[in-house]
Amino acid sequence: MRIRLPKSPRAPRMRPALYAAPAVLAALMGMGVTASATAEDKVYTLTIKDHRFDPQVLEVPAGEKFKVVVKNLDSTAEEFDSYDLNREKVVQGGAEGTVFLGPLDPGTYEFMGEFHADTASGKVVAK
Amino acid sequence: MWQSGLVVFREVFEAALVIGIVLAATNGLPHRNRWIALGVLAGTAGSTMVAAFAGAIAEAASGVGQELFNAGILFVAVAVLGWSVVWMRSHGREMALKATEIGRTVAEGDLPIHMLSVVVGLAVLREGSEAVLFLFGIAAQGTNVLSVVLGALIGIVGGAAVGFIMYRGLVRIPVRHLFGVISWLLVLLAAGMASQGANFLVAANLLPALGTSIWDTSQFLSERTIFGQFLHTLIGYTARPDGIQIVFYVATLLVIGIAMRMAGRPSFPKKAAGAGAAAAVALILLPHAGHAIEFKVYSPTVHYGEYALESRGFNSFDKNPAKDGEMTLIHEAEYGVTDYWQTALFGELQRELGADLKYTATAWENIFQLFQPGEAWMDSGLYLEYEAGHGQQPDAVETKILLEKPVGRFVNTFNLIMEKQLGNNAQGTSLGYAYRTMYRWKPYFQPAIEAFGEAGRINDFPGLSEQEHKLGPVILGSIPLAGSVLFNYELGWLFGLTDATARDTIKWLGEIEFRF
Repeated sequence: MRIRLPKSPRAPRMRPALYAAPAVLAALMGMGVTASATAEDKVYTLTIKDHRFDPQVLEVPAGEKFKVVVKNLDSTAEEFDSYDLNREKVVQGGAEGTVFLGPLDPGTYEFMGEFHADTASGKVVAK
Repeated sequence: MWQSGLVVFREVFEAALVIGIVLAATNGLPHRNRWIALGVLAGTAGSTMVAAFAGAIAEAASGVGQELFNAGILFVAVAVLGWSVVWMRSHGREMALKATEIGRTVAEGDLPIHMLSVVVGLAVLREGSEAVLFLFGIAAQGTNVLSVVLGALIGIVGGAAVGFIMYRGLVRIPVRHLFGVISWLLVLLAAGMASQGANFLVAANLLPALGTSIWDTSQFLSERTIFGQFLHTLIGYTARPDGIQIVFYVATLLVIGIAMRMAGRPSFPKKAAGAGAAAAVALILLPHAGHAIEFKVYSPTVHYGEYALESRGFNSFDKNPAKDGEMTLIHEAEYGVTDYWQTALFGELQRELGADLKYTATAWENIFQLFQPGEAWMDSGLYLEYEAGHGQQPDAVETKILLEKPVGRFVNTFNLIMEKQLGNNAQGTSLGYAYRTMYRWKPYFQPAIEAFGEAGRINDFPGLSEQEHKLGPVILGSIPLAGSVLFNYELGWLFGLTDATARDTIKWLGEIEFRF
């Protein structure tokens, strides 16, 4: 019984699907809360003192999510900056901040303190 | 049991309405029953798959922490519930009209008969999926499974019965009133779910309680009594709420309530809107018709404490003079105010169809980062922009959902873009997207593929060939200059994918980033 298809169909087939899009994205965002870092993840501490990181080499197991708490014992702010880990985090003087990382493939990932790049540097080694 | 009954009743009733309308409009058409039945079966099968899928996600996520999972499900259910209530308010009548029209067009032979299956199938799928999602949300509140299932069964029977009765014309209830009452009940349900979700997040130590037992009515009406239970499930009554639960409850009522009011009005008053409420509505309502398609993919990550001055633009080329020589230029000043909020002011100039380059808009843009990078499975953020149009150009509110997921050295970013035009010359609401997959090879050179598109006005989606879609290679990089000053750039060549899109577009971006 087909004679012709309308030239500019209202295309109802598209609208319901597209209406679903923000819901799907909201769902993804909501799921993000659920499938996220939990209290069971390992926590490592990285201290900044005299514009240096301690430890300078952080060894972590590969393939696991973990957190790094950056404690800034100096009086001025520092930025934990790593291109390899894809993270930038400013930590004010005397404060601390958490960086969520992993799972990492085995390898070496360098980071530095952006505000004092000459002295503040280190690496994360994932095995 | 009341919750699941009410929710399922509404979904089944809506589906029954669509089916009834299609049946009525195609009365006498040979074989229409089998096509419509096919649609119902397909839609039901699809909803079952959604249920199985949701169940699988539930299994996978159950190890993550019961409270987080429950809170997540509840908030998603609130969002979808709120959106569907608002959509119903603005499109309920339209949906009925469209269903009639489709039925008639098929009856007149202008559309193939299998369109009936498509319309009916999609309606059933949509209603079924919503029901599944809401049932999960209800289950997450800890109600016992048996009562949920019982309620669902009652809802199915009730919805089908009322739908059938109305189809037969035995009772004429004005549909609008019925939907109105159901909508408000559902808003209260959503507010209750939001408050319960907040409770879970407090238990998981993710939200401050803001004071416990703000009131204590357990003497008068304990949640252990039957009536207390009834009130709890229907309107979210709690005998001893935390402060934050009250905040979530009231906020949900306000947001959905305001959205419902605005959706009911024929025009969108310019001044009364306000960027915040308007953005919330745009986010809930969806598609809209935009004026110029953007060519920048936004990451949800905010750069705290950094200032930036940016210029970006694109030039389009095409043999067809109607699409040739289009140019947009944007100059922007940005600042990362906090760890989670970045704000920017920009001016936009445009040249179209051989005219001069004209200043077209001034805009204020904000990006809200919702999680720390890596904290959630997907980095997410919200983009809110208010654009004041110059001359003939209407004002607009633009909202984007920003999602980013790194996989190894690849970073995938997706923006869902919704823009609503306001006031005179407004062309309504439109939907678009921006997407990028980028390989993080070196800080100064990162190859990527980007895609941009605009689906068009929500009320009147054009066919695919009339929409604009582009795709192409782009390089992005960050080059350190003196001191801690960075020069960030993007350069790309996008190919038009549809008839309506210009064949070639060159996009470029240059930014100086610094901190004091």
